[in-house]
Amino acid sequence: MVWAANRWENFGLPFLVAILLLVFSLLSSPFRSSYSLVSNLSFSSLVGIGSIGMVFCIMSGDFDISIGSMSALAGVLGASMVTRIGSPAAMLLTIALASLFGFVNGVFVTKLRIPAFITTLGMQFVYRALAYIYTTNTPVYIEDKLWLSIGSGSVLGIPFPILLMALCFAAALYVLRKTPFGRYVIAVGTNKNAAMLSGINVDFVKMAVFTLVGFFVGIATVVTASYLGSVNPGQTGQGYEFRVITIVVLGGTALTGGNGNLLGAFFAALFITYMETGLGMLQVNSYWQYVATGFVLIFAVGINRVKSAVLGQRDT
Amino acid sequence: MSATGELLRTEGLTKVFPGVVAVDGVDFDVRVGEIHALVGENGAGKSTLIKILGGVYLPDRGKILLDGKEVAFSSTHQSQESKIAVIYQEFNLVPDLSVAENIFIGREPKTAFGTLIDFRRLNARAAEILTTLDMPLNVKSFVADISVAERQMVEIAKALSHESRLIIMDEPTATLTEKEVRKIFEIVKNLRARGVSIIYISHRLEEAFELADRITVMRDGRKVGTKLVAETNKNDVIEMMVGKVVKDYFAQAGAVADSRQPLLEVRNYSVADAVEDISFTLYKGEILALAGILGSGVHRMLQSLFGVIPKKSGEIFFEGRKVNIDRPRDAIRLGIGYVTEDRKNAGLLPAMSVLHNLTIIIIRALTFLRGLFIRDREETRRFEGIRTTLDIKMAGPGQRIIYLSGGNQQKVLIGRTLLTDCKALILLEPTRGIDVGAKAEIHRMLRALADKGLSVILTSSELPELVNLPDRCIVLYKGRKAAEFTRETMDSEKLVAAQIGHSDGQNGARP
Amino acid sequence: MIRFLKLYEKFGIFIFIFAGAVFLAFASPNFLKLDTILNIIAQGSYAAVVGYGMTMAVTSGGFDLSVESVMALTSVFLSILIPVIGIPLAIIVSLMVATSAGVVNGLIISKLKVNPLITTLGMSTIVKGIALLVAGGKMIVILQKQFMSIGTGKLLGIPNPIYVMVIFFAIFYLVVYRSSFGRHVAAVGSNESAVKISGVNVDAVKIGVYALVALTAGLASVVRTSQALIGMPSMAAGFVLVVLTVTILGGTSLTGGRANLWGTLLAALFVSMIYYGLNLLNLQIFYQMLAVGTVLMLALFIEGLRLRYLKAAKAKGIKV
Repeated sequence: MVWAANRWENFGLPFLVAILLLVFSLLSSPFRSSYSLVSNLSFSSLVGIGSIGMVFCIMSGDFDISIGSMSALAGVLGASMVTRIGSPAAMLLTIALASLFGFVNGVFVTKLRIPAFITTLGMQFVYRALAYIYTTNTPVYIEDKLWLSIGSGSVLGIPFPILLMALCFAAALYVLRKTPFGRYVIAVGTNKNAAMLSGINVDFVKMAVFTLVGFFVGIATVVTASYLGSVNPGQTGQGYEFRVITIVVLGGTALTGGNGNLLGAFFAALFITYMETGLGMLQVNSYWQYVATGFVLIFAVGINRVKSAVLGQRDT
Repeated sequence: MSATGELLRTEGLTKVFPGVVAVDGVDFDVRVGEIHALVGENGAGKSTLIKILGGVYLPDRGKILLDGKEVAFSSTHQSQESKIAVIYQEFNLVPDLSVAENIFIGREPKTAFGTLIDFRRLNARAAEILTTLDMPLNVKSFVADISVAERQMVEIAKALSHESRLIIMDEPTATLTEKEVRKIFEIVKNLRARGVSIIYISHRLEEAFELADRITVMRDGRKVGTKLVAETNKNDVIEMMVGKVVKDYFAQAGAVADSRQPLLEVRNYSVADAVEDISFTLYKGEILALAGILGSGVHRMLQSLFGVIPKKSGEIFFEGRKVNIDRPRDAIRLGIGYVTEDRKNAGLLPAMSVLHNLTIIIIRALTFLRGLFIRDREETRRFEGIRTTLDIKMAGPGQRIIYLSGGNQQKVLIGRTLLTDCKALILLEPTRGIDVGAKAEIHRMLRALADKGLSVILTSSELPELVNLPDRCIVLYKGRKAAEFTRETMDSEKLVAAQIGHSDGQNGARP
Repeated sequence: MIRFLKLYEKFGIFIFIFAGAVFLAFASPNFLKLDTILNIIAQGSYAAVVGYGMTMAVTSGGFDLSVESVMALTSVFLSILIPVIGIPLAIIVSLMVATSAGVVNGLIISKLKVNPLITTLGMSTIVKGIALLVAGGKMIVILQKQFMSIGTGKLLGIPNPIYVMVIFFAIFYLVVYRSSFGRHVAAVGSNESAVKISGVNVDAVKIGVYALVALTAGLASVVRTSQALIGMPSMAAGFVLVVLTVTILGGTSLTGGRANLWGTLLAALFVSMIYYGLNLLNLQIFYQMLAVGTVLMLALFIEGLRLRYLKAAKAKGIKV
């Protein structure tokens, strides 16, 4: 049992992904094509990049369920500015705004000590409502070639989103492992008191983490907008927080904080994306996806608990 | 009820935890309608004994006999059903429910409708119990709004409502005022009059002597003796509690700082519900101990010194300058280190390795470009330094800290503070839960550090540690200074006496 | 100041309602008509009813994010069952379905020890998926016009939904404050370990609570669906926020142990007043979302300040 638990931590997810790919490839020929496999890899960057910030957040012991709405608001604001400030600036604006929203969440959680889930639940509706109001419920279309090419472009044959995702994960891994900040995030998540006693500024770490959540969501929004060619105040980001949290948890990051698994999140992003497309290609009713993803979330948490219990890790 | 009036008896009761024998072959008995005081230093085994009687632990060896018949409690429920009630220090009350609801929780009388509570009957029954015990309490008030003493009463009432024949009280008066203590005494005597037996655990000998019929002393898990209160006195009891303290087992006296340069001075310091108007000085290179039993305020005093909890009033002077310590960061910046007593909850970072646990406190300084790149080699070098100084045993720097033994974990926590080149070190229970060998090591190490100029202020509830390690020991009782001992004037019996409020006016104490 | 804060916890909501009423009375001549007032109250009844359940969940130390989906599920089942087994039976079965979703929530939370956030978030998605599947993605029209009378009918000139709101308030009042179950729910939220030791079946209490929340969601859905006469698989988007806002604004503390049922009811009416006011200003529904979100953040902000103040006072030794 212990052997399995240890192996799962490192190999479980890639294993699952491999099995998933195998099964779907056998069942569906369009799935098999290298085009679809690669484009799905690209597609997974949408949730993958967004999950990076969330990994940090959950590692530090908090949650953010407002990222879908953050994405929508930042997206519409940024996209609507393309004609006025040009697309590179607009893309940067989107990312900056999303970071700002994350920061606001962080302020509420740290300075006012309101539990993260209710703060972000409330802000989720505020952001979404603002998105509706700003656009008077009409989608914002992107016609600018540069922005559109983000999603479809490629460098040396590798699609740009994949490169971007790899870059983001690499940067995040570096920060986590090689900077004091990374250590602080883990410390705050695993034992807030001890972290404080060691002189760590817990409030600052938490605010930074929430800002990071926004930052990565902003990047993901830019890519998503590129794919869809538009940002829709109602549709963009719907259910995003749910899928991202599922990915983070499935990837092995413990909800209790401290133990984070960025690579796991990466594979989980692949898993979820391939699962959804695979089901779609098999003509399975898309509503089953809802059921499936919900199960995966609860299942993932359950698995994490079993693993923690078996390995005797501290479980709050 | 047996012929001899005996209610409960234990024979050879033993309970072993990894590394320590908590209860060692204890023969103990309680008679019907008696108040039986149970005293002993911390770690003597009292808590474990009552937890066994309360059904929290199963004994490894030995028997428990109730009314002459052997019983075993494999759950707290079974103990309750055998009419034994245990009132723990932390209480098991629901703050948002009323007194009456707390007393009868799970057994509320219902109306004709079945699930609705008959509040009239509930309150009436609760009031009945309270009046028989002469407790002036409003059954409808919420437990959250009543005082600690009143909560004590609710617990007693709860026990009575179960028709308990034996009520075990663990330090019931630790945080009460004089008046409240008197009230509790009244109630306890009342209980005895009604045939209920009480096991009364307390550090305050004067209480034990006033209330109890018999007194049992425990030490190091064993029962030292049981005496009729009428046939003994406090000094005898203290002697039994302390025994022969081995003086040369632990650290020897170090070079006493001749140049008595003050490092830290505390003036007229008060912490809410803890200490009142305290003043003392910590000198360079000395080991100072603050000693006190539960309710003395020592822990909170030290926590406030490090900025963990706020002070009510008073001043702190560090190296001659007045300073403000509002949070741990302020203290760390001054050069004060802190090792908490509660390793698991407040000290260790469980998800991280030994290396990371140690270096977390200075990791910022071990980087290139002000916090961007961690210099691994530098980090390892510092780690190795501490590891050898303290001789921390582990499988490797990458090992998860939770797998280390208690003693080594403590060394890591102490090592963490050493990395900050601190000038003063605050230690709460530095060797709690650590085996004897490691204890001696840590003491030697602290002595060596003090000799090099580090000032140490610690608190401990282990008598040998208090007697042997520090250069000076200040005893606090109920938030005020009770006594002060130097190495020369140290006397274990006087120390214990001062801690429990029984002093002879000497040693700077207020009787 | 301390006394003011304690009073605020209990009666703060009255200030809001009073202020709101005064404002609206000045803003619109229509406000003071009986019809309008009844309408506002009726509109608030949905949040109120589900709020009763949510209040219990929060009092037990948790919460339920799946109420929206349960409402959708109930609506779908109604639309499918009414033609088949008739209105009364369809209502009963649909409510049973809703309650069983709550039971699943309770089981996962108590037996599998998954925290309420993840559990109800996950269940929300699962139940939504099931609702969509059962409905085939369509909104099914209910042809039995008699069903409409539940939601739109009036008795003695007062709209039916108000009766539902009042009757269930009375029932929940008894449950929360007078029944042993209700008191145990508060106890669990206040000090779970103490409750466990005293022998009460904590798991059963939790399962019961979540079942109740789901039941209230189902009830609200019955009334709503009867008004629209359509089974809506995507009904009530954003409703969970309204219900949580109503619960917290009403004074029920997130830490559990103290239920403020009156507060929930009044807060629901208050939110309904806000909607009316927004309508007057001819603002679209998005502004409603914004308003509710802002009100929630405001309520939390005040609560945060209040707690900080009390904590600081305690440190200074002031009796709190």
